[in-house]
Amino acid sequence: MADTLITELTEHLCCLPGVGPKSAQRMALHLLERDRGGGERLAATLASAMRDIGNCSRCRTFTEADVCARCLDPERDARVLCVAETPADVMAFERSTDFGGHYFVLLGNLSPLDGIGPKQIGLDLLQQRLQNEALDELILATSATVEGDTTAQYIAEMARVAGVRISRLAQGVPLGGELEYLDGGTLQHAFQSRQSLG
Amino acid sequence: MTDLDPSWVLHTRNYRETSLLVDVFGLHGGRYRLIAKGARRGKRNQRALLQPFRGLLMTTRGRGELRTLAAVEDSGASHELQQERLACGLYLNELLLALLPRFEPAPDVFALYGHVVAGLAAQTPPAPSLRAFELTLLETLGLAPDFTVVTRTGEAIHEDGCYAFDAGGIGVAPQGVNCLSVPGSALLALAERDFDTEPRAQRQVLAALLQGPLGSRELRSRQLLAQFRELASRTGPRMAAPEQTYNHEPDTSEERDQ
Ligand SMILES: [Zn+2]
Repeated sequence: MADTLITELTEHLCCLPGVGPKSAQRMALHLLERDRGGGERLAATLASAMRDIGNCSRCRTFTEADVCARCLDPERDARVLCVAETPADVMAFERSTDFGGHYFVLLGNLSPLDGIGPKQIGLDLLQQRLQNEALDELILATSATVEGDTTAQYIAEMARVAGVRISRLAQGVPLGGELEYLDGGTLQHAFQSRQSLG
Repeated sequence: MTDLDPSWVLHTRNYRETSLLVDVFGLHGGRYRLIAKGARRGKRNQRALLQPFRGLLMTTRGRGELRTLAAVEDSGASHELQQERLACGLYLNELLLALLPRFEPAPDVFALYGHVVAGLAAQTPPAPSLRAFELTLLETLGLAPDFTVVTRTGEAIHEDGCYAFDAGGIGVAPQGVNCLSVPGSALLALAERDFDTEPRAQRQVLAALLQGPLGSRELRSRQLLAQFRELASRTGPRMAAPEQTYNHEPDTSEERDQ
C-alpha cells in the first residue's frame, strides 16, 4: 500500500469550498515540498478547532468557550438583539455597521421543505432569551429569500408574544439577496433603514 | 426546451459557492430540477428572480435529469405571502415536490396553482382553494375516486348517509379503526367541487387520499403551519387583525384550513 497518504490528503482537501482535485493536489504538494512546519501547525490547529469549537450557549455562534467574547462584552448594548443567519453575516455586520448590540445566530433558516424547523435553528433558546431578558428591540437580519421571510415572520410572532419591539433590515437588501455577498455600503444602509414590524 | 416556459420555483438549494439547485414547476416542462450557475453572485442577480411565488418565464438547456438554466425573466405575477399563508404556500410546493412525477406536464394543476397562490396573497379564505388544489392534484395523479358512488358496489351515495372512507375507497358503513366516517353530503359536495359543505370532513378525506402516495412521509409545512397558529393564538387580540382571522370553518384552531 504505497502512496495512499498523499492520495488521502488530496481527497480530504477537496472538502474545502472552491477546492477541486487540481488545487487540492497543489496544496498538498506545496505543504510537502515547502512548508512542512506550516502543515503541522495547520493540522494541529484544525484538530483542536474541530474538537473544541462548539456553539455559544447564549448566541449560538462558534466559540470554544461556553459563552463567546461578544456576548460577554460589557460595552455592548444588552437591550438590542440582532438575529443573524450565519457567523459570516455577523462578521459582515461588525465590519460594515456601527451596530453595538448583541447577536443571536440562527445558523440557518426555517425551511420545512429541507426539514428545518424552529428547533434546528435554535428558536427554543431565542424564546428563553425573549422571555428572560429585558430587550427593547429585536432586529431581524435574515436574507430577503422565502426562507428568510418565513424565519423573520416566525420570529416576529415570537417577539410579539413576548412584547418586544421588532424591526427588520429593509431597504438596501435586494430581493433574493444573500447578506454575505452585499457590499459594506449597502449593509450600512440596510441597518439604518430598518423598519418596524409591529 | 428552447421556448420560454411559464414556470414557478418550488424550492431552491444552494449549490457549491455561487450556484443554485432549483426545483421548478413549468407549464410545459412539468416538475423538474435545474442548476442555475452563478445565480447567487454576479450582475444578473438571478437569485432575486428564482424565488417561490414569483411567476417566471424560463428557458433551459440539456436533456438529462438535471437541466441548466439558460434564461429567466419575470412574468409579472409576484406574490408576497404572510405568516400562516406563507406556510400554506410552502405546503402547495411540498405537495408538488412529493407527488408530481418528474417531466410530466400537469396543466390543470399548473393553472390552479397560480390562482391559489394569488388567493393566499390576497387574503381570501385559504381553505376552499387549498381543497380545490388537493383535489385537482389527486385527479391528475389518478387517485381521486368517484365521490358519487360506493367504490366496490357502485351504489349511489346518499346525501343523508354516513360512509366509511379509507385508502381502498368509499365503503358502505363505518368499519375498522383506520376508517373515517364521512357524511354523504361531504362526498357529493366534493364531486361538485363545492368546498363549503362539511369542510372538515372534506379536508380529512382529501388528506387521507394524499397520504396514500405519501406513505409514512410527513409534510413539514403542515407542522410549520400548526406552529404558526400556536404562536398566533398566544398573541391574542394583537393578531386579530381582519386579514388574519379565518372564520370560514367553524372548527377548532388546528383543524382549520389544512
Ligand atoms: Zn455568544
